[in-house]
Amino acid sequence: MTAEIERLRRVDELLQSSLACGPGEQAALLDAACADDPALRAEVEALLGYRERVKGFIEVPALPLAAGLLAGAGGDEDGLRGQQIGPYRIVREVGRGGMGTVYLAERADGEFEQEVALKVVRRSFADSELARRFRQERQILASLNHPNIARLLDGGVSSDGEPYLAMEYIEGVRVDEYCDARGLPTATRLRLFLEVCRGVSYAHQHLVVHRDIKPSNILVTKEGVPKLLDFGIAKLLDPERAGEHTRTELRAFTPDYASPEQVGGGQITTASDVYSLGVLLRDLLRGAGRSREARRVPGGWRSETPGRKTAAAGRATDGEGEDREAQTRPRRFAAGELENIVAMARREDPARRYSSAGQLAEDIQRYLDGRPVRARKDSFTYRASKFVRRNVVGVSAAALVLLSLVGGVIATVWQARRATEQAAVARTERDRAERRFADVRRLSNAFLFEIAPKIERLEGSTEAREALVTRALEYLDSLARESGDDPQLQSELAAAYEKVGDLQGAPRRANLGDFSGAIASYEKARDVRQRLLERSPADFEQRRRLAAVLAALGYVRWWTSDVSGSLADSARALEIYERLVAERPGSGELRVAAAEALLDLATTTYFNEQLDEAHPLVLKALASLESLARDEPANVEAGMLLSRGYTLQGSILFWNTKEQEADAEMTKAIALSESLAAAHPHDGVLKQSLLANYLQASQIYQKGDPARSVAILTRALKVAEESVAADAANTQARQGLAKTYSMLGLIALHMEKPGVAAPQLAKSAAEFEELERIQPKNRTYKHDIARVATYLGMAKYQQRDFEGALAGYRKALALYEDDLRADPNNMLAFRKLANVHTYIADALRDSAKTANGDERRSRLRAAKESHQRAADVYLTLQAQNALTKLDRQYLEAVQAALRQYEQ
Amino acid sequence: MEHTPHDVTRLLQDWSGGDAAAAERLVPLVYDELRRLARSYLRRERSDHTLQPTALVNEAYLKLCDQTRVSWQNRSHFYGVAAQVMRRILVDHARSHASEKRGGLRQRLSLEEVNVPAEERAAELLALDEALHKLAEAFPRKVRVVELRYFVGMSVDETAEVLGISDKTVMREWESAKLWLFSELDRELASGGGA
Repeated sequence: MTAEIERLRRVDELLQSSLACGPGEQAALLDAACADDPALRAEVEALLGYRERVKGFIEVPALPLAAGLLAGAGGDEDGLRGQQIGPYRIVREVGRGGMGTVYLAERADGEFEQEVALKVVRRSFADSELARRFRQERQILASLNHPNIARLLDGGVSSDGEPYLAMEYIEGVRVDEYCDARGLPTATRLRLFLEVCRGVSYAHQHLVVHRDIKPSNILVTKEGVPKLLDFGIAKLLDPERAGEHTRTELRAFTPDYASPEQVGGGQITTASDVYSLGVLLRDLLRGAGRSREARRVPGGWRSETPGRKTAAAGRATDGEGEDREAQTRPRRFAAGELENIVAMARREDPARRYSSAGQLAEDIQRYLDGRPVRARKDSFTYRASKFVRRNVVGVSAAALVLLSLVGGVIATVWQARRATEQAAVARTERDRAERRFADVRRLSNAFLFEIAPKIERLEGSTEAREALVTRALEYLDSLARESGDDPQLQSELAAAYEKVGDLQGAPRRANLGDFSGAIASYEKARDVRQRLLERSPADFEQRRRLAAVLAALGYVRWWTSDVSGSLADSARALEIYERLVAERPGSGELRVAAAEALLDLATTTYFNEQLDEAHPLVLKALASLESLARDEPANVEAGMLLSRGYTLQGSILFWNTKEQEADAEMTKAIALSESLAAAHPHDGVLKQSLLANYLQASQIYQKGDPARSVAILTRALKVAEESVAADAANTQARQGLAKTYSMLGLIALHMEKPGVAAPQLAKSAAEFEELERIQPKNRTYKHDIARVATYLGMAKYQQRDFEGALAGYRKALALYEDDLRADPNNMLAFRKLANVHTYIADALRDSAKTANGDERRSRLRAAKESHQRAADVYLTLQAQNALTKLDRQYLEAVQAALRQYEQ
Repeated sequence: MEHTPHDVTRLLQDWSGGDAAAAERLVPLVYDELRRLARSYLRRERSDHTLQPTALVNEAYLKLCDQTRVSWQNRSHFYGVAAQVMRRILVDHARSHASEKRGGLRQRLSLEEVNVPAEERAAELLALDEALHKLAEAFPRKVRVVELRYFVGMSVDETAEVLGISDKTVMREWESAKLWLFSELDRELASGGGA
């Protein structure tokens, strides 16, 4: 006895260690521990073999059930006999449970003879909203009229305030007992099962999910007709939890019939019923010859212990000799197609099951007809779920949610499509599948856009975030290969790429700053959309989406300093938008999108120092936005773009030396964006837009009216600090603050106060470098760092620290040269190069004044060379006919400096 | 028949002091209170009366025990007793139903998953009870964990607190207990056992 207990404890000890270690380590552990005791190992492994099957087992507490029994125990048994509930008189109690009691009852008004099963719910609906929903659901259930469904006849609320339901009273035998008692052959069982499927399918088409399909809920009448009881009752009785998991108190004992999503508290859909049907099918098939107890703890015939599998298969044929089929089918079942059918219905992932009860029935029919069944592995969803399992560790929770959402969209489309491919699927079913798909998509979109910024905020999770995007892309790429040429699926695929692209580098939204990754994703989306448009060039929505992805590409390319690519994509986006607007001039949304594309193009052109090209674009954008703002005064987007347009216009005018006109534009811009931000105090995007306008406006006053510039920057600083305080992990806000510091430093330089400038610039530099460390792929920080390094050099220069100045300038120079290597068309970097060379030359020349002899000569030589390089930049621009007024001024200054060396 | 908090409190103290019979005398007191509470819960004119796991037992505890005089150990004992009472109530009920045969009446209550047909549930419960009995000798702590988790509905940390062990230990005992129990039920089934 004691030895036996010791043995058990030894087994348990090993069991617990095995559970604690990974599957890889497990074998080694058991090898070591059971080297000379194979029986011990077998015992441990047998226990471990139950791991899959105990999922859900006794997980849901029995307490509510116990409470029901307690409340019902003793006392008022049959207390309602003879009593009247609604128009029914109770004959006797039929059953009782935690939530209520079932009676056999008859019409009390004697109008016609009718026996009903009367379910009285032991809860009252004091809440009128609940009562309303109860009535609504009841009506839907009452509309179910199918030979294989027990009808809901009536329902109401008793005088005691207890809701009741009157159901068709079925006298029959549980379906499994019916089959077993008659020793039915497999084919007959399958035909019975087909009828059950038809009832379920019918209900599904009426948007009713059973939620509790199991043998005790299916009675077969004397006529041999199976009837499903209690359709949708679980939901009806618990409308508050409708759509959530229904209560699963006793799931403990029938964990097998409940789908994983039911046990796990997930969303219950028609797929949950398909799962339960799969279990029912399995049990009906192997039920022959097995005792009823056998079903209570259903064993998997695919149990890991082979001995038991054989035993079960053997029992299935015992005593069933009347029919040859009964002996041959189980073997075939174990080996092949029926097993596949059951497996497909019972897949863990609802999306991988049969898409409907009708589909399941159809496969059974194919089997009965001797045609090949459809049940098989579908590789992509399989891969997807495998992916999720493989990556549970290491990928953050948010990442997984995102991934499953991206996957969810695709899988659902796939499912809906697969359903429609098959001719036998009823129209309504298809509509329902589409509706469900739309729901899932809406949901995933909402989540994606909420999750993207949250992922951004997961501090120190760069690796996880990158892993997420990488894996999501792998997943999408494999979907792309398998998706065939189904246009709907292709379109969704493009949408998913766009979402991943947004996550990597969305224009004007929090993103990972992985712009080259974003470009790759957006390009994939663009290619898909272009292919789709080749087939149906007039598809309006597809064109709109193509324009949107091109606009995003144009924007992101600008950030990677691919100026020519940016200009080309923005121009294409604009072209498409303009045609779309011409087709639907009434759409404010399209007009906003078109104006934004125009403004993006103008901005890129402006920053590329092509002022003359930028100017007409801005004027056009302003005209269109002003007319839109007149048509839709409440359109915040239009207002925001308009303020951006005024700022841009102001800057162009300023650099064209029209200072007064520039001032007027800036004043308009600031007034407009300030009023927008004040009207929407919690809108972060408007705040960032206001900040951008402040920063750009402040620049035009730097020289002529530095006090004005400082005043604007003071307001900017307030906005920037508020944004960072609101969300310290928002890199966009932090970048705004760092820029504000650098502008404050710059204005101090203009006022020749290097002592004031230096600390602001140092703060700015530190912040940008920190941002770059967090987001190493975000190249915009390099620009920022180069600019601040230049300013710091200027501060040192003003302090007569020429070596310090040169260090700053050279750091900037290296960064700009880097940019030009990446994109020789980057005119901004090209001009910055000239600027920095000029600064270097100035510093060298001035430092030469205090040096002697060779040192002096060598410094002057270097200064001249730098001036020469600056001049080369402008001469190159001149040769390309790209010299702006400002360039010309710089060129003249540089040439004057060069002449001095001659003297 | 009214019991004052002192009765239960003193019994708990006696039990902690080594009086094993005190535990047995506790049971009917706890049983009555739990039953009374369960009834009032279900009768309440509230549409959202959904029973919170452990709420019932917690309330019974507050009713039955003098809070100023019970120790942590007393409290643990109380919950242990309540868990066993719950188990006993279920099993007694199942036993009485397992013997009933209801002829041709086949339509059963299935208002929710709770309402698995009574006799089917009865056999299942009896089988689980049996399996727990078998487990008790070698693994008394596993049985305590299962009682608190399954019959009272306690969370892992509540269970850990009552038993005075770590969360991790509770999880390990719970996971392994499920495997042992399931294998026992499966063995029962394979040998054609049961009711």
